[in-house]
Amino acid sequence: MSELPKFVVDHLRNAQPIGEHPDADLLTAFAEQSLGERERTSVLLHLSTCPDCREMTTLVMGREPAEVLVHAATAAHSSSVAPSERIELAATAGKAYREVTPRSWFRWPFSSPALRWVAAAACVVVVSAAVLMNKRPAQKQTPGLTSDAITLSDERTPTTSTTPQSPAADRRLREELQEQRESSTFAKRRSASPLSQPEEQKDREIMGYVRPEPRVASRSAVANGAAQAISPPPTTDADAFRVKVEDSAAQHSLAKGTAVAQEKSVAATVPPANGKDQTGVLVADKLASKEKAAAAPAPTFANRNSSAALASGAKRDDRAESAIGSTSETVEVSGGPLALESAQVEPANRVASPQWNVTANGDVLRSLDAGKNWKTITIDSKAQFVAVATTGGSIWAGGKAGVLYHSTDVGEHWTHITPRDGSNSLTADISGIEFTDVNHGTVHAGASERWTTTDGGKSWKRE
Amino acid sequence: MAEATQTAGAFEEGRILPETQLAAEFYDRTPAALFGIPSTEFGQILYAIARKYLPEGSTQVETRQFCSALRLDDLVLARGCAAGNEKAWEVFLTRFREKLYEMALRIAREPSAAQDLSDSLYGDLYGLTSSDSIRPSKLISYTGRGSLEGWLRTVLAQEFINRYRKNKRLVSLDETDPDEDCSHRHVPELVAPENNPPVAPDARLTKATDETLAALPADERFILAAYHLDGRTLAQIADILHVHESTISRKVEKITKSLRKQIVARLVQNGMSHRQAEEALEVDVRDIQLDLRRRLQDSGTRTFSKRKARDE
Repeated sequence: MSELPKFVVDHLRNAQPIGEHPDADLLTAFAEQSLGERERTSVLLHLSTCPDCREMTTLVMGREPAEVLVHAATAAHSSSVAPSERIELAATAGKAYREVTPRSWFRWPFSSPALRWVAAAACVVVVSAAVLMNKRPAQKQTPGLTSDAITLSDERTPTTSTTPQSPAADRRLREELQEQRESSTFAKRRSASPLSQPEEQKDREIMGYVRPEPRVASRSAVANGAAQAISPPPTTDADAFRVKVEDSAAQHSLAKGTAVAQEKSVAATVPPANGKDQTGVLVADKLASKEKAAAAPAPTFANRNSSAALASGAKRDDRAESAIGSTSETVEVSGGPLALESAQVEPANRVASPQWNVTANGDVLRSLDAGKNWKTITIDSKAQFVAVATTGGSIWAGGKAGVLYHSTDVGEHWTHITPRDGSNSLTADISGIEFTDVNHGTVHAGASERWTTTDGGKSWKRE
Repeated sequence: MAEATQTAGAFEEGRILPETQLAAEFYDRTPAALFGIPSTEFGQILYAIARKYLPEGSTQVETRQFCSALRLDDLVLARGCAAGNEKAWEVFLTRFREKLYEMALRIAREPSAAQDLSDSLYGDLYGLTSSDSIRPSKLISYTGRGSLEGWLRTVLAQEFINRYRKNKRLVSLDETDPDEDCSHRHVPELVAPENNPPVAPDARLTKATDETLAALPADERFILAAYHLDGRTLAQIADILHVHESTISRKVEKITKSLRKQIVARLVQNGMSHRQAEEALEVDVRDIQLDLRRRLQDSGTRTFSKRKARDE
């Protein structure tokens, strides 16, 4: 605020009160806006020249800060206070007044006790949702690691044709898988090499249909009965891959790999000794090696040579050069891009699946390294996101005004979804998203709206 | 009309509605009868209020409008209480017993002080009738311009400020102020101590400032005083003027800037060169930053030049 020239301040201060002091009736009427223009003007004119009446008006009409003023003014005028302190106190009173203003906008949402409770409840929901989302995959992963080696076949193997495409088949296979899980759990491994075009295509298919649940993904392998064992690439290759991760061009395919790894509930993590970025792909390799290495410390297992054993008969050996970095070593990759290998993996070595977070500002963050580094994912620059849910490689992000996005590639590409049920469409603020699998999910919006889908967001039902 | 002139008496124009007509028009709209106020007395009350607030020469239409805008229900309740009507007191206490204390607490900010304040107000409201003295109830001064509740709050605030002042006076008599400069500052002011104006370096500046301030609309001048003198927040000023805080913010900025321009313009009009005028204000602005605090601490009688000399 600009300062008034001193003379003007002095003139204002020393002005003689214009007119008589308004009586309590007039002041009340002024406060209640029931004065005519003529009287209002005369009261205002008097107020502008009479500090006492201004004080009175503020006391009657003012809000909270009156406390500060009265307190400080009382102290300031107490004759027991030294003149210099008086000034200090008067200044404090003025300052306190001004300080209240910028805070008032922040205070209003919490002014009512009800809103305060709502805010507290919202915090609890957000925190517990975050905890659950992080916990759930972990729980699934832990039992999934046994000594049985299971290989997922890719589309080129005969089993791919059995990949269920209908919900019914899906269910059946899931049941099978459940049974399978009783006796054996698994860890899966994905080919680490950058995917060639056809492989990407296949990958997408897997993501689309097999991906949803770790169990679902594995069921093709179960049906196939195939087991692939692959030895991990050397660490140097791992480093090369790491370099690739940073390469934006490679990001896409790697991210996919990560997604697949995640959806299959592969539990593996870059060994802490490496302490660097990991990719789902790489880590999957390491995981496989880990199984073989058994008791071997994490850093050493990485030096094994790759070997692939395809039990499905459709064995394919692809040689993929790790394209980047000084490491020119050739990596032998299992022919079937999906190789499952059981492994006893310590929790610390689990692959951290991409983690998601939403900032208070409504930005969506993704971490590919177990939360060490977070990257803002731009989905819709205008939207303000509130909730993110992940199921396998399927990410749902929802925010204010019914904004809902879906990604099937770990957040690289997003599709805007507008849930509709008859003539209704979701426009309320989304407050929470829950997906139990790729197809089944619920979006909470507004005060009590629940939008459910059973087909991965193609159709919605409002409750 | 003849009757009106006769009844109006002191009213030269005599066009204000007469008591009887006021009573006839408004008595039945109020529960005055319930509170024991007869029609004639009601007419007198309304007439007195109209005379008090309406400018001379007000017409009958204006009188009607004015009386219609009054809080007549509150008015008869207050006057009923003032006259000691039981029914009126019953209604009054039902409505305000708790509220009075709450309002007092809001003003005094401290339970025991609030209790004191509201008790003392009750005393005023009941009035005092003894053999030697009659003190009428304070409610008799309520005129229904605003709500009775608002009036009670205002009266509480007045009482609070008066008490506070009284206390201050007593204290200042008891204690001798060691600072001689301050001792002759008689009644301590709530907000801004009364300082003698420093001698302006140029009479033309004083004149220009006076004229400019006088030309300001009342609300703008109020905003200036409340913001720059009292240190009120924008929100408080907005509350008082019933406009949005952002409007006040814009206005403060605008008035402060335009005031400066207007003063310069007036100085130029009065024969100063533009540069001189700007300089006069420039010196001033720098001065206010450095010196306001010190000057407030001073008695306020020192002159500008003396202060300058001391600073050097």
